[in-house]
Amino acid sequence: MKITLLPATSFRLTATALLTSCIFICSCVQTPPVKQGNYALLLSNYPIIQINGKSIEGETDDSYKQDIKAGENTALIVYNTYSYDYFCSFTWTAEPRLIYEVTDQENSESLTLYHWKRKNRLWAQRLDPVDPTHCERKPRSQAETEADPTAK
Amino acid sequence: MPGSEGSTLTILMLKSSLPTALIFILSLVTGTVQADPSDVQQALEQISSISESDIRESAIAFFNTSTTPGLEGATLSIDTADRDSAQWRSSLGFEAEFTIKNYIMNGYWGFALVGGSMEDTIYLETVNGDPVVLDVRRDLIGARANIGLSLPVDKHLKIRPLFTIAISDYHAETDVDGLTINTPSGDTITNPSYISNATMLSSIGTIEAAYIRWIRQGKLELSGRYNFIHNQSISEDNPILDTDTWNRTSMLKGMYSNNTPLMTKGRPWRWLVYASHTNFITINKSALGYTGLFEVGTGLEWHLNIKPLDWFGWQSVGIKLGVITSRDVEGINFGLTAR
Repeated sequence: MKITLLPATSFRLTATALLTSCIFICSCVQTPPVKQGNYALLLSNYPIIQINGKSIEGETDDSYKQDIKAGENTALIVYNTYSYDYFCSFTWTAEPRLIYEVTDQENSESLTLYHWKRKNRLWAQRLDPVDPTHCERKPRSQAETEADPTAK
Repeated sequence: MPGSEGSTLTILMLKSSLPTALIFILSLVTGTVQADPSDVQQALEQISSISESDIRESAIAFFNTSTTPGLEGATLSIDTADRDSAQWRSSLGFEAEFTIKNYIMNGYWGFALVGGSMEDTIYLETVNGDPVVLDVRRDLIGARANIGLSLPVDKHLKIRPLFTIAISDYHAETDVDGLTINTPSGDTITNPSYISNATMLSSIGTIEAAYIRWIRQGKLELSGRYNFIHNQSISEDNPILDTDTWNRTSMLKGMYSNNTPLMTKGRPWRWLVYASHTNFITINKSALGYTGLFEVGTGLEWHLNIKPLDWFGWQSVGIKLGVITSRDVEGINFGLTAR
């Protein structure tokens, strides 16, 4: 029986696909800037509710990107689903000029905080994962009522 | 949650019980795609009686088993008294979620390059009992793009409706050794060769459910996917392949992973076991010799957790080894994975 593990055509296809994908992705990338001074940047794929106890107000973008002062910070971020809202609190010490990111990576907790470190021109590393200190689950209807007490 | 999917190489071995009629159909898919349809008709009459619908169905089956979303790479080898053949498919691409601000749902998109090939050497007889050898090579290369939504029901379950467009360029070369045909123009051709090209398009609607639950350090992942596929084939060479059909496929997969004590560059390795089943619901068994694949396997994943070009997350790379079995197919799967 003949078994071909990696035909030459497959190798050429793979190489072409890699090159094309890199070019395509390069054209869409822009690294977010960090505020000058003693600041770090917090990015989140889910709405930031509070930073150090202070509610986030203003433009929509503010709920997903915040300049934070270096030092210990506490962030409250909500992971919305159609059944429940998960209010997750993170506490960590932010270093100046660094980027931090909260995302859903299907880990044991709904959200995970990463330190984002550029390794080279091609990629950055997600380092030092931090789980939330706690996540409070609230039924969606209850969370909506608390957010807007006038809602029926 | 950004993510990526990579290519997987699979080795499959078909049971050596394919009926000769099935081989006819497979071979004639390419054998009839050529510049002069009248010559094809002459060849068909001398080798066997076969309907045009059989040819269409086999061509679409080859296309769908190469390009349908959710399929991993595969290599099939068939070696029987009547036939030596090898088929492979491969895909390289990624799928990722993106945030839709102020909405619970996330967006979901992906892009992949896909390819497939099949080489057949098939031993047949003409209606007069003379031996005929078909040497057939079919190649397919294309691209696939999808867009959709990711709807989190709760933190364990996500439902994803997706829409995919796939386009492929199909090329076939067929040599028929031992056959002599008389064309309508009066020429006699010995050992005729055919070359054909077609463009194949498909529009695919998918509904996917993905469930995740952590049990201490262990992660259980269950997923199901159902594809509704509209295929359209366009060929200037062969009117038989100017056709469109509807097809459906379903896929189920379960996987369990857990920590290992291994660390490389500070990043952990996790072991995994999985089982999956793919059902080509509307493909006739006579088209390719199988309608479903069941696979169990194990593997290792290294969680590199990087963000290429500061854009999408790439969580892990790994290897896996699986055993494939079903009523008509058995084999092994050895592949590289990326998520």
